[in-house]
Amino acid sequence: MNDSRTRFLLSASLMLVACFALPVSAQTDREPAVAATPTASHGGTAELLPPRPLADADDALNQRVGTETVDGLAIALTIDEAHITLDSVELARVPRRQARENRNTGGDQVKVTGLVGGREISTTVVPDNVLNASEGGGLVRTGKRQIFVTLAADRPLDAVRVEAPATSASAVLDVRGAYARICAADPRSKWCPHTGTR
Amino acid sequence: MRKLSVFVLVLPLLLLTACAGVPRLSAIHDPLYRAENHTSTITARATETRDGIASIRIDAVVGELTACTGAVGALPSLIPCRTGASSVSAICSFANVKTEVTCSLPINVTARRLISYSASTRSAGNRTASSGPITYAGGAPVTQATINLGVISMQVAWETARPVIWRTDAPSSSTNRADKIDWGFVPDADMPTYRAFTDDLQPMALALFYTDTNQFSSWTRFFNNIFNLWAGPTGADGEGCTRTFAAPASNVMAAFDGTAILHRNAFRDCASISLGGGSGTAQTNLGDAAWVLLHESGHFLFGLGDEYVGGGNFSISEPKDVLASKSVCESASTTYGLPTSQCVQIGTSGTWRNDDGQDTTMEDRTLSSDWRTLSGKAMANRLSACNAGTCY
Repeated sequence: MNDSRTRFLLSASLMLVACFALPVSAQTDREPAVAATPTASHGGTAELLPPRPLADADDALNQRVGTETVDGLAIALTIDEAHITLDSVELARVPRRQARENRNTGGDQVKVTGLVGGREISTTVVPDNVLNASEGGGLVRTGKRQIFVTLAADRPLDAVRVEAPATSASAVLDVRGAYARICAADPRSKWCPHTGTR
Repeated sequence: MRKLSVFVLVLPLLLLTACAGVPRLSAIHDPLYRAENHTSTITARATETRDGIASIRIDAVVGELTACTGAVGALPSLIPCRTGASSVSAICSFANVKTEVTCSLPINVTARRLISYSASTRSAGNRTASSGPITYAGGAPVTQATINLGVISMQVAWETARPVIWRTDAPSSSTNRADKIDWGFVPDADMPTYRAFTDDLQPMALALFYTDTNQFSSWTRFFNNIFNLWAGPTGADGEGCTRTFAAPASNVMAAFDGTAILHRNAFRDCASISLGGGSGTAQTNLGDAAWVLLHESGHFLFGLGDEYVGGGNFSISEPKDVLASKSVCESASTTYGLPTSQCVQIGTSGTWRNDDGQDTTMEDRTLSSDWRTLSGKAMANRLSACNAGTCY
């Protein structure tokens, strides 16, 4: 075998090894999922099938979460009798079912409406936890309570209007701060209130 | 009429014949949730007494829990996604065993694991059964998310809700997404460690939904497939009827239809009387802790009132289990086919209940209690609402 043929075969072998090594390397980056061999009771036999990588897009869980969530805000409020304060507001993918407008929550409710330039964009309701059952203590009214809301919003909101008739509380709260960080990082983002969509 | 009688007599026989040979199958992971490295064992149990069980298969998908921010512009999510997953399967074969057999798959849980699994079984008579997929988290949780803005990315402090038992059937356009009750659990400030919280949660949730044999848990065990159970991070503090939620717990609360603050110190438990977004406390170190948890959930998940003297005698359930007057009680009882003669005043409170003399969970602190009379009707209505796709 002459030198040039040897070099060619060596190069080809290295390339083949490299080609196969890439996917193997990608797979071995994943931590081993199985801690030990499976077991069967009653003298049965247990076989472990080799692990198979799953692309993120093919993962049924990711598809489900994509379907079940929607862009919006996760809002924490404190209502103290007639006063409402914004504890926190986060731009997030929020569960669609908790953000529905027509939730049947019975009893006292807090209604939260997303506003852009005074125009209503979305609405949801959550229970207003004013009345409580204290075990052995009877019915307890808590005028100061925290309320957690998911509000669907496909565009940046200026404010949310909060109405809690149980304690005659109502307020319009500025939520523009929720978009501040993302807009500082990317002023062209669709979440920047004053630049509109890309 | 005679034909009808024959049909009524034959129907159970037909049903028994049709069901004979069908395997029964259940699958559960253990521990239910732990926020540190551990080995989690998925165990499937199958029984078929006529032909025996030939095989059980467990299919699991294991990957890294993320806040769903992989795609450009995707916002961090309150409920998690998964990346870098692998599917693993175990197949257990049996010699057509006619008593209960088990197949176990141990999973190595490291930081930010998100695991989905389902099980299936086949009898010697070639009849099959399968369990719906369940997803759960384990290992150290996500504490930040990287938002992909295209050219650049930014990191934000972030927590997702942590699934303990999340029923994750494949998405379907015909499935209404509000058909589950998302029940959150968070540790009280008096929990010594987060591990203490997850250790205390385990026996309460297992008893309530799987393993207890008392009457009080029969409803939740039978209808456990309408509940998703979630753990939340620290930040909650309950004391009597005062409940506060600071970050990071407050960041995920909006993903739950109701939240139990689990505590160890003794104080009078209290819960909002609410549907679809309330909360309450439950003490974990009681002999009947699972019963107490269920009773409190009667308030904050199902809007039921206390039916005992000196409790929170007020209700927003449909129908109400605590009513404003005798005539209102009689009217509700008539509507739901209950004897009006069972309407009794709760002490001298001026509120009324329908009482059939049996132990009922909103009145009697005993493991033999059940949802009875009007509270039973309210629970049935809630179940119907979930089955129709709108729990709340």
